Amino acid sequence: MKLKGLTSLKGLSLVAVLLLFFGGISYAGFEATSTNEFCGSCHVMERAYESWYHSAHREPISSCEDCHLPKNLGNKIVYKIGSGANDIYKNLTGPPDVIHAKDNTREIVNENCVSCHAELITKIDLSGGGKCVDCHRGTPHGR
Amino acid sequence: MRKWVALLLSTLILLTLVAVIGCGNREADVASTTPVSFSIPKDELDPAVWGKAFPDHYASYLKNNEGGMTEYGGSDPVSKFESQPLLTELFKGHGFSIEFKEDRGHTLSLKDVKETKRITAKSTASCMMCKTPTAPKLVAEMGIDFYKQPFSEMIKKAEHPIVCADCHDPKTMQLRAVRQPFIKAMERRGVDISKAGRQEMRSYVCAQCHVEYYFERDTKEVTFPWDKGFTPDEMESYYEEVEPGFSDWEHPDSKAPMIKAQHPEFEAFQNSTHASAGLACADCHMPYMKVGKNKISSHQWTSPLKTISQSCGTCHRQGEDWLKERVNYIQSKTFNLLLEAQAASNDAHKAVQKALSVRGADEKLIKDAQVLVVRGQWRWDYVAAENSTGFHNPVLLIETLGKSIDQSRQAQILAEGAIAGAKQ
Repeated sequence: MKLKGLTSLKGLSLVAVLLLFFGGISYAGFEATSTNEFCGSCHVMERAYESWYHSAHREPISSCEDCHLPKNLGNKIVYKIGSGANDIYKNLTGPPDVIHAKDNTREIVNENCVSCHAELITKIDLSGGGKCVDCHRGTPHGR
Repeated sequence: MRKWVALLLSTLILLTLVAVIGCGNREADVASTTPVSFSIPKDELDPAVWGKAFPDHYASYLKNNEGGMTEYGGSDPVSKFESQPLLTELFKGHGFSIEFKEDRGHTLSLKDVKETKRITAKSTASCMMCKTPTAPKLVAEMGIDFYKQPFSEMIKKAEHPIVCADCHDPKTMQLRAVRQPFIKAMERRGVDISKAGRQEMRSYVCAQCHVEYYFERDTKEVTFPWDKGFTPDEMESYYEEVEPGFSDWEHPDSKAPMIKAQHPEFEAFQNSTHASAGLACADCHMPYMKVGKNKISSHQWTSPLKTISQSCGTCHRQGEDWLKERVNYIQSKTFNLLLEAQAASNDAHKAVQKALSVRGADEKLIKDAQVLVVRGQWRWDYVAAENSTGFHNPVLLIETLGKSIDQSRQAQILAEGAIAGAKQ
């Protein structure tokens, strides 16, 4: 394509419309796959969904996304793509009996604990590398 | 006209991109973890001075003045002779047969060591090592000469009980060990304390004092018998092989060369369920508690039964009643077996005493019996002196009592054999 074509009015309008269109679809898709009901729609997530629903961390305190996804939008999108794809694959080929969180997950979840509870822990020394969930194991998905 | 539209559209596209990238960032602000600024002089020992910078921690620390008993332990000066009446016989000839009260809070360590009847005119300064920060300070100044000085002289230089400076660096508040016996004992095990991680330090600062020890024969230096390991078996081999002939006192009845066990909490905890799960002393004994809008580590060191929710409840979600019942199960079984072990040990002492009075009794059998008397008592004493009534490591402590009973009864059999086979 000729450069001139891109910067012409027609070209720019096309780019703008395409951006809006695909942006809109992406946004709608992103939001739809971020709801608690969507996460909980896979059978293997039933225990996680129910335990969260009956915990102190249920809506409007936090959603699945609030704890399990990075806050930064760029990281969030990348992580969702990766873990979403992995989850679909595992779910179709045989989900495990017990789901173990990967190290990446543990990091993200811990950062999200801190993002809400930062003031509470200002006088605690966390330099040892311990995660909140090492002690608070039942939060919120029960024992 | 088209040029302006083109410019407008480009701007809109650019702005959209900026908005998506810029406003998509939802990272929350995280408050810093050291908001307090403080300046504590390097050699300051007075906890009230430290407390000005950390009023919540200081208030928690002062709670160590409170007492309160639990079923098998606690912090009131109740005599152990009430619940373990055989102790006056089993410790005969040693200070522990004169007075043996339940310990009080860390804030009272100096007062209590000055008042206990176990301190006599012959006591050396070694006895104050674990009661005041002045002791490691004097060792740093005087070297190991400090230990054999008279207690009555050196104790006058002490002003404070266990305080902040015993565990915290005044400049950084980082955890640190100050007591030379602990540092040296770990060095002999090939461990450099200065390289320990934070979770390890949360046990090591307690291990400065909550350990088995003895006074080296010549220098009276406080020494931990850890070179071969932490179990009763391993510490016993230390005494028998590294310090042969060492004994804390001779029992006047059986003439056995006894070893006195002292509060081996740190050692007993090794390899227990909770230790192998990565817990440190502080996780249960200094649980996080909410004060105002912050959590702080509680600095009231006492039975976690008094803070079951905070000490146990974060990990174990079954509720206080269930947890208390599980603890009681362990402690009641341990305590009842301990009483049996003491009875067996007493029978052993008395049998050897009788054998010694019988003319012609086999001396070799009596000597062998005396060795077993020492081993049997060492093991039940390890459990009795250990302040958790079994809880820190039920498997190890119950096994230890089992071995103790076996050894005491074997001693009794040998001594009775010596009597029966006596050539009159």
